[in-house]
Amino acid sequence: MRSFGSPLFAAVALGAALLAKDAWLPATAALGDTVASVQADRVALKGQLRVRSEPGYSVHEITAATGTVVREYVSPAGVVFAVSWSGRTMPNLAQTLGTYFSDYQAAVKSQRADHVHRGGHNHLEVRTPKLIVRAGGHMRQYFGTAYVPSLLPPNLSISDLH
Amino acid sequence: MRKLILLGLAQALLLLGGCGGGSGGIATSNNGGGGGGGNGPGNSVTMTVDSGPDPASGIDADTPFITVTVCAPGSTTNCQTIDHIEVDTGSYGLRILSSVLNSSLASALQPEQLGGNTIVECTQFVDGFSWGPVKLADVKVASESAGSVPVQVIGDAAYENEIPSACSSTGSPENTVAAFGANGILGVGPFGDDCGPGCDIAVTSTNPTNPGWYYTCPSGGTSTTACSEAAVSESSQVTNPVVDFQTDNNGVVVTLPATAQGAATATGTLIFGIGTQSNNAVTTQTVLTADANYGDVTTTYTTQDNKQEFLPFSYFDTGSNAYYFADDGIPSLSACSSQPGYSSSNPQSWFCPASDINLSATNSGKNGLQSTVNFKIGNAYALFNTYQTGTVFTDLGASSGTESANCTSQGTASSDTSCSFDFGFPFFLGKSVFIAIAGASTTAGTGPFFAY
Repeated sequence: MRSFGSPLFAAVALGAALLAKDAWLPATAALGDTVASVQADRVALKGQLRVRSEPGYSVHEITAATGTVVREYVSPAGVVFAVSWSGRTMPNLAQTLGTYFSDYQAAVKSQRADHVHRGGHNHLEVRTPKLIVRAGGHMRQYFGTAYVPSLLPPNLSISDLH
Repeated sequence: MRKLILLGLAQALLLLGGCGGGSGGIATSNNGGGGGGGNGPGNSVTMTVDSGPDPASGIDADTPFITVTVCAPGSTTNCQTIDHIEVDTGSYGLRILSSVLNSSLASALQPEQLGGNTIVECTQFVDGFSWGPVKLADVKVASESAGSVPVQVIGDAAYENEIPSACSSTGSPENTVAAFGANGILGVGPFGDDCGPGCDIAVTSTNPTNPGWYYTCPSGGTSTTACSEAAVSESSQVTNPVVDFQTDNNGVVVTLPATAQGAATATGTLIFGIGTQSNNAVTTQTVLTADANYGDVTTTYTTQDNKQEFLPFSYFDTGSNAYYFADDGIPSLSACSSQPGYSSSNPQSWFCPASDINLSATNSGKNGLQSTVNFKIGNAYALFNTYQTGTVFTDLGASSGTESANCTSQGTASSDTSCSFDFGFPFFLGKSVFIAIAGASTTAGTGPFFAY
């Protein structure tokens, strides 16, 4: 799964991942990771990564070769508190959600067992105390947002994110 | 001529047998006939809305099904008639759960091969992935038939122990009827194959543009590294069977009656072809040309707090069982926590307004034509509680996410696919909705388009 080594190691691992083409997106910093790992990715991904500042947070936007865009939202404290995706293919959620991916899978399984009425294949709502994921779309068109409420900077609402 | 007579006989037998979905069983057919039928030109099949093939593991609400006959290629005897195939205008191609296939047909369906291995697909749904080989089958529905169509067999045991991590990392598996909520799914949206040209791009380390839906795998592999990502031509990808019909192959029409709130069932029609027969002519409908990459149209919608949203990634989807859109002013999630049936540990995002809300949205095609849709959103929890045996709800809505600041300007909305309005199943009630396949010519223009 993910490595949490030094930025140098992360950059090397990222290069290897790109060469091996074992993921649908270049390796990125994951939800809950520090800005240091984003910086490492930025060095390795120049040209594919665009960084911009917004009031109260920054956005590291990675456009994969497939055209899918992953935006990573970084708090002033230097932590990735939210990620979003948009494009013709799903991102690698294991990579994007990082350590939260297992929570995500468990929640999806548990809600399938819990819901009297099915929600259909084209929308997803995951809401645990640790993680919120909201996703939608259809084949050839996918979008979603994942965030960790406890990491959200004060005075910032998810609907404010650009 | 002989074939025509056989088909007619088969239809008669199937009609006598109560074909058309809803019985819950899986019939085996010893003839080559297709399901459905009825009066008219023979290009239409009965579509039934009910609680699905496995209501004990989750009731299907606002979900339409048809019955499809699948045969070994070239065979008129090794066939199976399969009910509860979900009709999904938000995907492309036929997928069948492996567990519903009888052993005779399962063993006769041969996988597509590439370099001596089997082509296996990791199908991406928003709520999970489905993994299984691509096999060739003859597909028969109403009086239409298509030979050797690439079809996905989901959850095939020979490939279940080698799911690559790049596939399992896209979400949570949906490889059983219980997880999937249907015996199969027929994607009749506006594309002829499921992935498109992107999946035909050579897989190389220097040009990682292939989205990686397709793999080649050995049968019976046991390692997550046994399969290799592969480029698969569009003709070998899982194919919308409609494009392989001899006639009536340029699209479909989904027709559903206006239905009473909370009805236990509803019966509509899936018609094949646009402008090809007396029952599928575009007349008074507005044609909305869709985007060639996504198959989407643009919706403008004003939220309860009076923000005008530009939603260029909007679509009409029988596979979504509600209107899904973002409007933070309509109660959803924790604002519905006092409602009967609300799960605080696993909340769903159904809307629960105190009383029905009348709303409207305007859809624009790439051709500049516009159409305004008036619709209602009710309290989903109250509806489910009031109509406990109901499977058809006319005003079911759910939040697709928090309102996004990107959607309030056309510039930022154009690059954010979450700026989207999903006109799900309730939209289709009381309408005929035409869906033309990309590149196909019809009497009302070239696809992709929606018309209603």
